[in-house]
Amino acid sequence: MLFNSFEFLIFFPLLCLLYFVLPHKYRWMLLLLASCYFYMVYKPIYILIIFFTIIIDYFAGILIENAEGPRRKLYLLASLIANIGVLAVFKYYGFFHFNIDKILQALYMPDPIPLMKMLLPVGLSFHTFQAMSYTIEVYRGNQKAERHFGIYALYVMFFPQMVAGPIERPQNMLHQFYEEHFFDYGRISAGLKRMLWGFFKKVVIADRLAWHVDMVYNDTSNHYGWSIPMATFFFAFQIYGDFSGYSDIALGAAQVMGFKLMKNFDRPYFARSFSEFWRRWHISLSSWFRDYLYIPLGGNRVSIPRKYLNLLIVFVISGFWHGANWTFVIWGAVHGIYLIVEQITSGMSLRLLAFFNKMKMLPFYHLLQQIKVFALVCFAWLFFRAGSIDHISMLFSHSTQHLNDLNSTAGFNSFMKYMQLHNYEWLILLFCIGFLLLVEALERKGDFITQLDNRPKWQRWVFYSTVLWLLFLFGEYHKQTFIYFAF
Amino acid sequence: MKKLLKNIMLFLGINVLLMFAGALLFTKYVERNHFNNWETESNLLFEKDHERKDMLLLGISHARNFSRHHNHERVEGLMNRSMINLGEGEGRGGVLNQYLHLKYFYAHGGETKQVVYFLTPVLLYEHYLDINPVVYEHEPLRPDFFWLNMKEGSDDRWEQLFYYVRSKYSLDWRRTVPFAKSAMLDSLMALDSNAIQAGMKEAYVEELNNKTFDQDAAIVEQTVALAKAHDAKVLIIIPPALFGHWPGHEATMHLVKGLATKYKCHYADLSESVKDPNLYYDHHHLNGKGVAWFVVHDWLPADSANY
Repeated sequence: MLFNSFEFLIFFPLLCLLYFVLPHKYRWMLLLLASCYFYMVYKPIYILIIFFTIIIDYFAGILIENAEGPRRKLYLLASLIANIGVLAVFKYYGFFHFNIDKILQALYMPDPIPLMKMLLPVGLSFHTFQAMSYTIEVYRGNQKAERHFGIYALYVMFFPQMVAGPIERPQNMLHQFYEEHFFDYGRISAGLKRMLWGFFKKVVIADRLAWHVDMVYNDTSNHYGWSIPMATFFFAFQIYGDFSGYSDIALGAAQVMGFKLMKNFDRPYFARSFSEFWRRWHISLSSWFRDYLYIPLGGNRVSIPRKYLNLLIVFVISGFWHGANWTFVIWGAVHGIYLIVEQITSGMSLRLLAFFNKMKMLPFYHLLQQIKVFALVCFAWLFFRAGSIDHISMLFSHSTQHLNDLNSTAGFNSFMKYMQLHNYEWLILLFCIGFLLLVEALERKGDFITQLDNRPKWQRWVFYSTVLWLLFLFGEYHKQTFIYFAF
Repeated sequence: MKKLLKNIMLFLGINVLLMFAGALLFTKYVERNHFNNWETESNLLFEKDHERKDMLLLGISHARNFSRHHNHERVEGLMNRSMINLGEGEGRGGVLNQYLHLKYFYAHGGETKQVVYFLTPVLLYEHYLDINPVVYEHEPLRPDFFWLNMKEGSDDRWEQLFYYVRSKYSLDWRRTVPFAKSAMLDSLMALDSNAIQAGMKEAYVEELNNKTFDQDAAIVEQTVALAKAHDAKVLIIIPPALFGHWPGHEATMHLVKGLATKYKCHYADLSESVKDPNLYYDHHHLNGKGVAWFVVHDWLPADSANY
């Protein structure tokens, strides 16, 4: 079920009502059933895949806890192989088949692997990673194996975050299913406000921008010059609105029912460095890779070349996690290179910082850094959004043509019309993006909803009414799915 | 819980009321202008209470076309009858939309001696015509029309009603003025099979689905029954197309014949009646000259028994 659907508008209030009416001991059942229904609205059969991983990991957790010595590792490995195997089959089979086929064709050899066309189960990478974090944490002794099968299933399937995260850790989630959550006006109201803000990001920012982005990226052969950087700039906000909007709705929905999910985004486009960007963007995934891949690879406690290699490996795999396409791999590699270059030039950055500080121009320096990071992140989004390697080369070649068209009024007008930015659409987009950035700038002092709760009532009403009106006037409601569902 | 519900209701209630009030204001702003049937694609903009017309047209663009481009005056003159045209073009309405417009017409005291339903077969197969979210974009916001749709509208009525209200805030709506397009006298030179194929692909988004046909046929029957209940004669016409029969023609004819027997209404299959490309501006829309020719040579003779 989509959060931005009419069905969810019925589903969620009904569920909440039942949730608070039911005695605590039955609530896990209600949540589990609701989560199954929520997932099965997409494609019912794929719930079997989740059940498969749930059963494997549930027993793996208990076996790991009960075992001693090398058997612990064996059970962990079995669980990881099962999870990664599911991912490999459903997400990466086509990719590997295609590439092996290409290599064999080049060698004039027949391809022995049969082609299987499979639909990617929604949010597969998310719940698989969440399930993997459970067995790893049990193996590490940070988490007791969950004996209650229903609660464990709920940990994997909890509907607000099942299909697009945040990718939770068992230490944060499992105990919450045992705690009784009472009806709390302040918490519920804060959760609903967060959901409203998430809907604004998704329906107004992301879905409205999607239109302009798709126009260029889905029909690149007819677009040249500035339309490509412009579409990429829009995509930066589209994907942010889409994904962080989903996270806000997920956090808000969980908060209404008394659950606290981890924060997944923290104003990433205000980051002054790439390492800061990755501490602010998709935090649950970044920390997952940090804890379960980067640190086991040796992290920072290895030689400098090895550290850089580790960084590159992590980011390439992270890119591959996003999608079975070389474009995602390149996107990950580009970010890995950004981080490596940033670390190599860290000495120079410190000297520049000291210089600007001496000149009392530190805010200006920070602004320059933010612009630099944002511009390079935008550049990397081009690889992420492109459909194939050929598409990337077309994007580059087309973006260098007709650059002077904007110099004339006629050229500018035709550009605006071609990008569908006429009829004040550009003003609407500018206003909505500006509104988002303004709120995020104010969040520097802490969570905006909490800040607003301390303001007079009329100010809160004006703010939330503005958000509601923006949703009404500028929201796109054509049931656009969330980009990250495909990951 | 009470406090929460009260605050949510108050917050949403006030804002929704304001949204509705704003949409009504923008409706009034446009309605300051006087619209005639042939000067707008909307129906409610020109429809008045207690209209009395000799005939009322229903259908998609093939019906609406009899009002566009000064054709309205042409048809009224040639037939010597007053006409109201509620047909909806541009993919903005299907059989349900037409039924609701007819119902609204009668609910406002409208009277007509005859209902002429231009039943293009595509109408019965394309569900999207009735679930199109922007189906009421051209219509002024009328609370009773809103209510009618809320009660009897399509499966996607909530989305349609949302866009119905929101569209009143758009620049396009506020720029709505009576238009006076010159007569569409362009002519096709010849039959272009590629263009026909492309047109068919555009028109028949869905496959020829019997389930959709049955659902839509039931609504057409309701429409005929409604007209009959108001003592109107009913004439169902399969409109002309340069390529002759539309996909689904046979099933449509079967339905029409059944309706004719059950409700004692008349029908005419005129799908192959106009074969001259010069009388069309595309492969299934008659131009000004074609409308005049069709009225005199096909429509009036088919109608003489009925009217």
